[in-house]
Amino acid sequence: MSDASGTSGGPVPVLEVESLTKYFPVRDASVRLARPGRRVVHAVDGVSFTLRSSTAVALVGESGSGKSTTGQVVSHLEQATSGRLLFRGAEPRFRRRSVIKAYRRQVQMIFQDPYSSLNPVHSVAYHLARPLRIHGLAKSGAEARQQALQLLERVHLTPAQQIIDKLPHELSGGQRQRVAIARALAVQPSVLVADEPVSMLDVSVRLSILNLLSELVTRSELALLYITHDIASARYFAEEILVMYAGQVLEAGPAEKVTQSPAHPYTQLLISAAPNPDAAAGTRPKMQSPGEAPSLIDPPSGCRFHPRCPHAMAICAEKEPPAFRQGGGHWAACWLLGDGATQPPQPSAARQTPRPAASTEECAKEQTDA
Amino acid sequence: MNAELLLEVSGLSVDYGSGPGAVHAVDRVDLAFRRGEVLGLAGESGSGKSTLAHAMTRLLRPPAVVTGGSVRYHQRGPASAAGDRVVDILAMSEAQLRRFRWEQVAVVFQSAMNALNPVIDVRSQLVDAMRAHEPRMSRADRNARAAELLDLVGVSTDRLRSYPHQLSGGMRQRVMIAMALALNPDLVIMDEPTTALDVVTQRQILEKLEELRVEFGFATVFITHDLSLLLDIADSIAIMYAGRIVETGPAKRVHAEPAHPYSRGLINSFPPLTGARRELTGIPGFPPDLRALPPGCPFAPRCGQVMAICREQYPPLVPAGDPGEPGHLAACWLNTPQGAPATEGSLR
Amino acid sequence: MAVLDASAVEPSAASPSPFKATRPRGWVRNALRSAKVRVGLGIVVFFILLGIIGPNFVGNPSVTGPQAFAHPSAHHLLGTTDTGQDVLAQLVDGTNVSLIVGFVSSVIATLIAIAIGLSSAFLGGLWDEVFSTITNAFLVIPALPLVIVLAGYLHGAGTLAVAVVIAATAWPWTARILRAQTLSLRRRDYVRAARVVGESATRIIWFEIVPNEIPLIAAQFLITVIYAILIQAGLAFLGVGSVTTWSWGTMLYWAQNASALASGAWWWFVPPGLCLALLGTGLALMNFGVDEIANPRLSAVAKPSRRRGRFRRSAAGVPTS
Repeated sequence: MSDASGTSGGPVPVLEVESLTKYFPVRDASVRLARPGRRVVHAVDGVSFTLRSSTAVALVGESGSGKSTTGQVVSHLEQATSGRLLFRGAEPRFRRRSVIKAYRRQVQMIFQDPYSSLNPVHSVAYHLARPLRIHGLAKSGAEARQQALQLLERVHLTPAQQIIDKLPHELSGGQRQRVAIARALAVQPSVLVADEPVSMLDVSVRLSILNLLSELVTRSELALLYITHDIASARYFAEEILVMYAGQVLEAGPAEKVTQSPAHPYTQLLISAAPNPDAAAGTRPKMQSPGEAPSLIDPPSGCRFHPRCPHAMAICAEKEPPAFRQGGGHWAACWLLGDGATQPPQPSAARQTPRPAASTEECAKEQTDA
Repeated sequence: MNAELLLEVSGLSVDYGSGPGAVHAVDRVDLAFRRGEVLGLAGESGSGKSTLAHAMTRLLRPPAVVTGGSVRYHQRGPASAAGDRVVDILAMSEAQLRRFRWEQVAVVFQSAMNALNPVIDVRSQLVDAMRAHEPRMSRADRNARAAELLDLVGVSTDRLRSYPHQLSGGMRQRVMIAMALALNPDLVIMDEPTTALDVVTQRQILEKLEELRVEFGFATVFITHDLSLLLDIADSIAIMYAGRIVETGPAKRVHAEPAHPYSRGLINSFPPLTGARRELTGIPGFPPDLRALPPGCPFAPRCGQVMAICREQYPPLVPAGDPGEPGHLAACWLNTPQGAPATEGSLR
Repeated sequence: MAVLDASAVEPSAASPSPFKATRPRGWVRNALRSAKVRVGLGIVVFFILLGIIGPNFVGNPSVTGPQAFAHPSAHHLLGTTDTGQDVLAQLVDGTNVSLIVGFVSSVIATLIAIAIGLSSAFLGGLWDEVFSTITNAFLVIPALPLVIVLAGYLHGAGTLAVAVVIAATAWPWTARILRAQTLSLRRRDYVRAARVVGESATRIIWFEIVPNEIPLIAAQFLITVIYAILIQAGLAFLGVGSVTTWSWGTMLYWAQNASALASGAWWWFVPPGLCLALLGTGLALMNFGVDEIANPRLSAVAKPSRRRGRFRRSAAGVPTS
């Protein structure tokens, strides 16, 4: 993973999230009748990470893990329930409209479904021109059109003249996604949140979109938050991976380390479940963890994964595990990694940190201190 | 695994619409399944794989129409081989077809989890199929069988009285599979059964399917765009592009030595989870437009090894690679004397 | 930017669907393709023309004459009433009332519905509760009695007043539908994308959401026209409102009063009834055509979290892969 924060030549932290939570009130009538008092869906429950320029960070999890909600909070489609969000070290005052507008100039998002992220009644030109006009980057229609053509070139949608007046339904999924990327780039943001940008595209098109995003990260020094359920593409594409489950980050670290030496049983489960034709036949162990993702209204006590964990111990049901460092910026929140564990999956000893879910930045900092 | 033939598709063609503007969604497809085997049918949008599945079971709706070919099913007689016969599904009468469906061939559709009737509980839906096909079964027997089926797919039987919205996606999918197996079919066609599910749930369901397959011996046609999944679970694979089969053969073989540039490109489009982290390029260009296919090979505009003949004539499906390995066919000029011999795994 | 430009645009060669996709902007053209719509439109246009130029060709409907209950003849094409008035003249004259009340009512009702439905969906919270309660209240109250009561206050008032009164009962249905549709569209990714890009709420409502609702609004408009025409006829038949203004309903009122049915004077009550039915049918046919466009064809992708867009069904309902 990239070196310690802020030192000369290293990637600059652009957006930091600290102990972010997002709870949604439960509106189900039956729930209200059964148990009086307000119940909430703990969609995101204490997530921290840092996004740096020219770096892609992957947020990996399955449906219900809270990864999409995290992305929505980062791009200010939802307001956090608690926790801090820092943009270039300062906390934006989201009450004021001018602050929100300025934030939107810096943080953009692309969505999962290319078929619904573009308005069917508007042309590509309209979609690209709007952000330019809203943020004053183009003063007239002609200027906007010029810049729109350039944006199309940047995302390799050529010949741009032919594409610019088309309607969304005249474009293929891959083309639409490129238009969505172009729209996000129009304001020249520093941060791009990509919520499952390729999972609805044809396989043969996915790589070209991922490669495009990769190119943009390097060329435009973007900080990219890549949200996905596909850990293989996360490994391919991102420098750092955060594994989310039931609203929390269970493991984080450099992409190679997390995928090749997963420390948390959940990550190990994800990796063993992913299709991997390259692995030798017959070496795949049987699934050990039946059961499904837990309820976010009443999450399990202690470690949220313990009901499904094959190595669960008594303490797992009682107390939430802190982050245990595995070296090199890699940590996992699992009691198995602590002192006195009976079955440590990682042979390397890890020091216990006092605070749960410490950010990877601090891990790196302490690493250099040690 | 029985090497006996179960289903033979010969020259099947399906068009949408008619006349000069007709779109050839499926074009002269030949396929053969054996009893008890898993055939993976891979392809992207517009490849025709779903249409093929629907055509095989006569589930097409206008304007889709079968314009040629046959689908011959080898039915096993009750007691002895003497009762065996071969029937063309496409030529069956409505009555025969109704019996045939679900008793011999069951289909699990795309987003099958949304195919459950939301206002009927699980038990009734399971029992429905039985009631339609075995009217003489007693109510107690039917209920017992429904419980048995749920148990079989790994859903707790206290869910019999649940409604679909009370079950998770994975559970609903299992219920669909249970329904498909209700009458012990010989062939189960599954169209993207795990696409909308988590990777973990997907794995669990696939393992359960494998168990069931081993126990009951039904053949499976697994249709999906996720080639990497097929390489894991299928015995043989057929890859479709623009309505035609471009490569078919034993799964391991197709994975190790793909003989068609599209297959190679597709296999290389999945970032590997283990092993070296290499730069991948995917397949350049766009998926084909079935209304305006170029002459010759439909993959030619995107092919890195295209030759002059590729743009003129459509390549025939010929044996590829090592002649010692039967059943590995590919439709590519590179595998014929007219083209350069296929290079050994150079693009892997 | 022209949103409803009806020019047809050819799908690109790279479109994955083997079918010509539905064209949101060319929906008017699409609608006209349907035979149903053409027939329906033909009927409606016929009646409009009848209402505009017809009265010039027929006599005075109020003039009484010597021949009472005369059968249809060359002199009176549709016979006469019990006071010798020409039925055809009454019929043609009455066309205008039905059309005016129908369309004016519907315009007013639809405007109210748009205002309330959209505000309800967009403002949410307390406003939504308030507006929804009002809407539901109006929905529950039986329309005809309510209209009669309201019309009673407009004693002897003209056609337009009747139109307004009918509109007051017609708007809730459309408001509810629009609210539901707007709530659904609010969740669409392109609306969220518009927010992320920095669009203001006003622009989102009028430029992102409403353009996608135009076919739905059009379909609802037509339904409301039918409704208004029938309610007006019903009112007139019951003798509410002015009985001297000629309308089809009024004809039925007088016919009933004079026991036309018992007298076997079918030419008096059958034509107005038939006209009502025909106009209603014409509008309904147009509505079927627009409805086909307005309905989920346009927004074919449902909202389950992992629905694969590329496997969406084509316009004809067959899988595209």
